[in-house]
Amino acid sequence: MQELIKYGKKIVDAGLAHSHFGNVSKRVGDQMLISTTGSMLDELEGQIVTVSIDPASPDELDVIASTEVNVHRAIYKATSALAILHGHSKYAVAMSMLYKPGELIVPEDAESIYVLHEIPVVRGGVGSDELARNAATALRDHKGIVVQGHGTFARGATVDEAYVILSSVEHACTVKYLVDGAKRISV
Amino acid sequence: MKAVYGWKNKILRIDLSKGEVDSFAPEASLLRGYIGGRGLGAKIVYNAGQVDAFSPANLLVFAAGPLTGTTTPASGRVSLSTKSPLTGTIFDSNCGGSFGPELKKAGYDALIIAGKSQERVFIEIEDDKVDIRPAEKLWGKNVKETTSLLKNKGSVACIGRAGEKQVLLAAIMSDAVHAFGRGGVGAVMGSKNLKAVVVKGTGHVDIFDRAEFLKQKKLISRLLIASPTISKGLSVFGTPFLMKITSWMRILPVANFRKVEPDFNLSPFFAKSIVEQWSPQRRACYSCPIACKREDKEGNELPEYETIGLMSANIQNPDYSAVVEANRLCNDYGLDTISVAGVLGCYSEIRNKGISPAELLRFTRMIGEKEGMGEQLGWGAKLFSASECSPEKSIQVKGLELPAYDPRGVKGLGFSYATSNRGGCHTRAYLVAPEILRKPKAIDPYTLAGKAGHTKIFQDRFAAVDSLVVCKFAFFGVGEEEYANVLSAVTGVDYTSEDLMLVGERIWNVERVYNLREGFSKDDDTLPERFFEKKVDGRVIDREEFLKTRDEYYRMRGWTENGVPTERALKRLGI
Repeated sequence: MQELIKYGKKIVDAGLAHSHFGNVSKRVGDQMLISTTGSMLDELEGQIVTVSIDPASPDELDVIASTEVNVHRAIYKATSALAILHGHSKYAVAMSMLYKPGELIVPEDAESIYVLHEIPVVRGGVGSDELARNAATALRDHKGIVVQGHGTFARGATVDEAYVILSSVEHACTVKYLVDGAKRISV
Repeated sequence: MKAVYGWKNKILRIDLSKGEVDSFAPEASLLRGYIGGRGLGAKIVYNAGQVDAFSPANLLVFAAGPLTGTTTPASGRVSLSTKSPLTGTIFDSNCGGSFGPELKKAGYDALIIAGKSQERVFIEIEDDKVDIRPAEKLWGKNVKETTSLLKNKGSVACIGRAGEKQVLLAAIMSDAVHAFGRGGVGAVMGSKNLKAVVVKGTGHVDIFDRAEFLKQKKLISRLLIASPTISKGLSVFGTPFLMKITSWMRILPVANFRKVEPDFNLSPFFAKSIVEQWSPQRRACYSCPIACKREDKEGNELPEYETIGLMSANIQNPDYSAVVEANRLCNDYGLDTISVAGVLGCYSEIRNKGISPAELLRFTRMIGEKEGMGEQLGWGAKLFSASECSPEKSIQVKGLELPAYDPRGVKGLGFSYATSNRGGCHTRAYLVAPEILRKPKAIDPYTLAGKAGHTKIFQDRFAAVDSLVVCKFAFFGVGEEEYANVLSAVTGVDYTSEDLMLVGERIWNVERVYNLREGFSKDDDTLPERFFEKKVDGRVIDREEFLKTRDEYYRMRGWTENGVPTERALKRLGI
């Protein structure tokens, strides 16, 4: 729990989420710790609930868990993830709107190419079953994805690794956006 | 205004003392300004003047709203207003089932029952045909049997033996399992020698703009489904989903609100365990897609959150089956489960012992029968504790026992208990929504800062909602705007959300003036002392902060520093 509190604060400090938006979770056996709906990621003390990861076994605490608890469940079911972080960083959101769902954002910088390889853009409304399906499918083969017009989902074997992915997606999208813009100006 | 859409423009009046029945068309401004349900009832009860709760002059006003009997989602409720014999305040209680829609289809916005019959009677209404009939054969029977004997005549609202014996915790039960639960309203009915009201309607409710109505109805349905509180909570588990949440938040009262850490494993009381053990079936009120009620495989009702919360940890009973049985006993005797559990919590603290499962059932029967210790317990926690020289052990506000949320951990809700016009009640402002369930937006439950404003707004909001009469649970997903739009479509009168809030404020002030007339004062707008003095889970309500919040609340309402509405405030509201 302390780990999620620590990384929730880092996410906000790094500008990877703002206000009440974004959510974080960590898998513990058949359960996950997940931030509550309406909570601020930099103030998660007392704002993390424990719910089942089984999509077929809804929990009473789902009502106050993040509205995207079903997306987290679908990702845990489809991947080997042990932690999931979701942010709304600016360049990732902007880049997602320049691509169509199903397309891939291919990073330009060496580190992002190494860490991420490529970033799928997926479609789905906030907390929707469509988003849960699409995010889970895309995260089978990738560690970070961007939901069109919405934000980033990052998975990891640890919360730290998921944080690296979350910030790498934003870094990759920032560089890509700047490079693509510079190319257009130079042409 | 010719109120022919939505409203029926007709109120039925029955004087049991004289055996007379008549009806009248209400002033258009009454319907426009108070809408129906709780608002209409409050105004009628206020206008009747000062009465003793058990006097024949006390009224029972069953009031539907303009949406009742339409297929507007969650609009099947009906309100009852009277003076409470338990609290001495003006009182309203509303419930689901089909009584409200039948009353509307029979052609009435409201039914006013005055007087006291010399004989034991029940009232039978079928459209314009209204009969006062002998009830000697029904007297002495409990709710299920009475309902069973009358239900072929229409929707039944009746009392059980508790109401007949004028137990101060007696409820009126509609369609056997829906309760006009709180405040001893069943005792008022019993005092009138009235066993039941049965109503059947064959008419319909005219709608001003059907196309717009259908459009708004579709929108409301979509918003209800989209609400996580409804789609992940109420519709899946019913209200017991709250058990795990209040337990997690450490606000579930334990041992008569002395702590929040139970001495036994609470998981059998959690909704998921209940689903696994009892396979509950969903049950819905008229025209409600939420379907929050639950019954077992045999069709017997299962308890709601408040009943489970207060009949388990708060009285130190570890047996869920006993709660199920006690809930059924309460429904059958016609007793308010919250107040029964509240007075038993008080008893257990005074006797310094928990209530065993067997004692829970035995005491419930004794309260219903007004026998032995049950007679004193049936006075409610305030009078019972006073009779035991332990008034500090009654957890109530204005005589009404508190629901299952410790105010030290939900301070806005606690403040709303203190300022409630009907006493310790969570539904007046329903701050359960923002403070516990984080809807429509999460607000910090651990502080009183800003809660004067939240309380006022939510009190006004739900006074209007209770007048439509719409279920509060719909407001987890839908706002005043949508219901103002559907109200306009149904009635042909243009309502905005601001209009609804103004109606709510008007109702709140009428109720306040009634209570002041009865002798209530600022001193009654408070909480039991232990919430200011004893910490649970490191939390307490700071008295100074509470008093400042109360001052701020009075100012926001346009009341004097003593909590009295000013002439100017009343004039602004048209009172």
